[in-house]
Order: sequence, then C-alpha cells, then structure tokens
Amino acid sequence: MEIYLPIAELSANALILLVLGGGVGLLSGMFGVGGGFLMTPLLIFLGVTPSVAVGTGTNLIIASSVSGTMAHWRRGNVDFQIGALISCGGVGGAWLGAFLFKLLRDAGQVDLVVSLSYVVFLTVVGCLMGVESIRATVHRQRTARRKAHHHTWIHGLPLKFRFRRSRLYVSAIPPFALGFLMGILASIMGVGGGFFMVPAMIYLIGMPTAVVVGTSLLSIIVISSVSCFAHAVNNNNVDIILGLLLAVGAVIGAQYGTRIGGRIRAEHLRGLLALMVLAVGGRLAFSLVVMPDDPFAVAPLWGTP
Amino acid sequence: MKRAPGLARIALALGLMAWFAAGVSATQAVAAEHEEPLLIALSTQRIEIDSSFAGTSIILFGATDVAGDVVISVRGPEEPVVVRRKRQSAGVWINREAIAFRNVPGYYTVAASRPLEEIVPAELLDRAQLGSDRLLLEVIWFETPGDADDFRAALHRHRERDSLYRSEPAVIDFIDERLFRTEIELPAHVPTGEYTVEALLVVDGEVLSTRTAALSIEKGGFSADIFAFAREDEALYGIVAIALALVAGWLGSFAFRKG
Repeated sequence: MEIYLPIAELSANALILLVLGGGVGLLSGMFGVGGGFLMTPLLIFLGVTPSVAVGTGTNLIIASSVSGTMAHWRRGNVDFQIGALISCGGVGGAWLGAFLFKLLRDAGQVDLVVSLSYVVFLTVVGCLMGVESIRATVHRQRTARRKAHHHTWIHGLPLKFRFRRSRLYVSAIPPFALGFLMGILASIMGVGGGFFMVPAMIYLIGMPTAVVVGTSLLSIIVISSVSCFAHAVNNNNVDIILGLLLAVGAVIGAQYGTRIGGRIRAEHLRGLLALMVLAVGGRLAFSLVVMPDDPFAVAPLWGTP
Repeated sequence: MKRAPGLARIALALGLMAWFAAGVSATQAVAAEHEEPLLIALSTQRIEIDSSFAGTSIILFGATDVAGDVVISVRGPEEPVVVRRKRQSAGVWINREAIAFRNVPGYYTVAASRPLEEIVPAELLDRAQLGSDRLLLEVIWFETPGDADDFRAALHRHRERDSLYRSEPAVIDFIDERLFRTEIELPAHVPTGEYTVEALLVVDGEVLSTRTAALSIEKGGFSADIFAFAREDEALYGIVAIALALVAGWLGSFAFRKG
C-alpha cells in the first residue's frame, strides 16, 4: 500500500515501513539501543533525504524507547537518579546539535558529517565492545567473580553523590557530560546513542550491567524528545506519518527483542552488538571511500529539507 | 466564414471530451468565439497530492483550425537549485565544488507532433527554450574552477532519472486532421506549485498561434494539513510529534502486557 509522506515528500510502501520498523525495533529491544544508527542509513537508502531521515529518526526513537523502558522498569532495572543527570546534560546537547545540523545543511556538508560521525563512533565503540566481550568471555572461565568496577581518574572528580540503585558513589559530572555528548550525537546523527551510552555507563561510570539498558533507554526518551522538538522548530524535518509507521513496527519488534535479550548472556549480547555496530560502520566507510556512481548532487538552494 | 462552423463543431467535441474526462466546465468552448486557430483543454486543472498519491497522468485535448504542427511544453514551478560535485580528498569523497542556478523548473516536458528540429528553426527553439536541453540555466554563483556545462548536464541527468524532465519529446496523437491529444505524465514526487502548459501551432516554421493553460498541483487533504502545520506552527508540531511517539510506545507496551 503506497502512502504519501508529507514532510519527506515522497510515496513509500506502508508495509515495507512497518517491517523496517519491526526489524529495527527487535534489535533495539535486544540490545537496549534506540536503533537509530540502523534506521538513519536505511531511510537514506529508501530515498529519504539525510535531513528528514535524522529528524524523523529522533521521533521514532522516542516511541521505540518507551516500550523498552517500561519493560525494564517492570523488572526494576532503571536507575532514575543517574537517568535524570544524563537527561539534564542531554537537553543542552540536543539543542546545540540541532543548531549545528542546520549550519551544516546550509553548507551542503550534512551528508558527509553524518556519515563520518557514524564511521568514527561505530568503529571505536564496536572495537571497544568487541574486545571487552571477548575478554569477559575468557575471564568467566578463570574467575567466578569480577570486581564491580575499576578505580580510575573518574573517581577523583568532585560533586560526588550516592546512587542507590547502581550501588555507586561517584561524581555527578561524568553522567551529565555523557548526556551532553549524547544530545549532540542524537541531533546530528538521528540516533538515541545507546550504542555509545551503554559502554560509557559500564566502563566510565562503572554502573552494573543489569541497570544500564533500562537507564540508558530512559535517558534516550528525554534526549530524543528534545532533539525531535529542536529539529521540528529549526529544520522542519520531522515526518509524523513516517515516524508513526516506523514506530508501530518498532514497538511490536521491541517487545519481542526484550524477551530474546533477557535469555542471552550479557557479554555475548555485547559481542553481538559490537559485530552489528562494526558492520554498519564498515558499510558507511566503504560508501565514503569508494568512487560514487555520480559525483554530482542536486538540491534546492534554500533550506527545504 | 467557411471555417467557422467547422471550428465550432470541433470546439463542441473538445468541450464534451474535457467534460467527460474530468468535469471541466464549458468555459473552454466559449473560447471558440475567438479568432485563434488553436484551442487546448486539460482533462484536469488542479491536482491534489494526498497520502495515496503515486503519480498520475493528465490528458491534453486540442483542436487546430489549419493543418500544421503542434508543440506542447509543460513547465513546473521554478526555484534556485545548487548542484554540488564530490572530489576525493584524503581518500574520502567530499562535496567540493558547487554551482547555483537561478529559476530552474522543477518539472519540464515537451510533446511534439514531429521531431522538434523538423518543425521549428533552431534559433526559435533556443529563444523559446523548447526542449529540456535548451532550458536556460543561469548561474547565480559558483565555487568551481570547472565548466558550468558539466553541472548543467548533471542537473538534467538527475531530473531525467527522477522522471521530472524528458529530453525526448512525447508523442502527440492526431485523432483526425484537426483534433489531437497527448498525455502528460506526472511522477509520484512531482513538485507542488503552479504549472504552465503552452501549446504552439507551427506552420512552415512560423508560430501561428500560442495558447497557454494553467495547471495547479497542490498538496491536498490530510498530508497538506500536516505539511502546513509543520511549517506554520513549528513548536506545537514538535510537541504533537513527541506526544504521538510517546503514546504509540506506551500503547504498544500496554497491549503486550495484557497479552
């Protein structure tokens, strides 16, 4: 069934959009990521402009994160204190990111910056997670218990608070800074940032793996909402119809994803996520380096998305 | 005077056809009173792009009073366009060069009863900008040491790939010696705005008569409302988008909990 998308200004098959949303939702539930890092490139592949793909991505991520968050909330896997700190930082970052996005679009460099950001972040995060996943799998066989977290320079920072759910006594600065960075990423790349936030929470803040996914999803809801609003106001690139169709699929997919994710061992889950992250990053890097079919691109001069 | 009854009959037939096709009022038939030896009518003058729009085609009917050739051009709304060229630097392909063109039509097609060059002298083709290859693309600014023609060619290539331009003229069918029809194909992503349909009656390389008709393509129904909402009330649109996403997520979660 063909449906006209009013902001993307093109017709697309509604069924394909539902299935696409479902597939991304499944992965999002499994790994606790917003799924935006898959959705944005897929939408661009479908012919949606990078601008609308990013703006609509922020909208979709809200929906797919709500169901995931509620599923984790019921299991008591959300640290609301750290979530609130990350969200506060995210509000500022998301707004700044949407403004930077507008500047880049006017300069004709949005596609490049979006792709390059993907390549850099996905490669770095994928490698870190992959190495850690392998190490954790090997260590499990030798030692029965791991230390809760390592002590680093992070623990020398001021403004320390006690976070009961995570059983941590750490500075409030790293979660806030992490949120700010996530906000910028959310607005420029159209991602929730879970693929970056999850490892940062584990390795930088030292949160227990059990609460990381739920807490990151909660922060993603807040950050994506602010980012979505900033894009709607600054760039007019949020397509409600496209977003809702993808969201319906994503919400259903995420429910199954959460169930599947619960049955897989945490370090294996991280290993799988690392592989997926590296695959998307590699594909994007390839498209940047390989000679394009047509080196020319045509766009309206004034900022219609 | 011998000509008049024939023209009236043709106009009547034309009016009927148009009326059957899309319920166009009989205003076209009134034009028969004029001396012009050429008449045209579109099967529809207004197209609404709603959520189920997947491209359409409209039919142009016409009648001539004298034997001759007919050339029809359809020109969409104009806007400035920038064409960028990627260059490889440090292994990565980056938008490096750009040229902006003034008044580029978002849609352009031509239909002709015979190959254009056989009907109209080359000089007139250029002056009237007939055929997408002859569209005057004026440079506003450029950031390239290269030739603007490469960028013009790229613009044509892209528009042709998207079925918005066609370099080969479409066919005009003559139903009899005086009556003709042609189909105007509009793809799914046709730009919205005001279109001008221009018909020329050419005899011996001279334009005997020119007729224009207006075609308006608008976003209609629900999708037009959404588009206008997103532009005119940006903040509220953003809040609604967030609320819808939250509700969609919550409903999904709720439904699955019950199940």
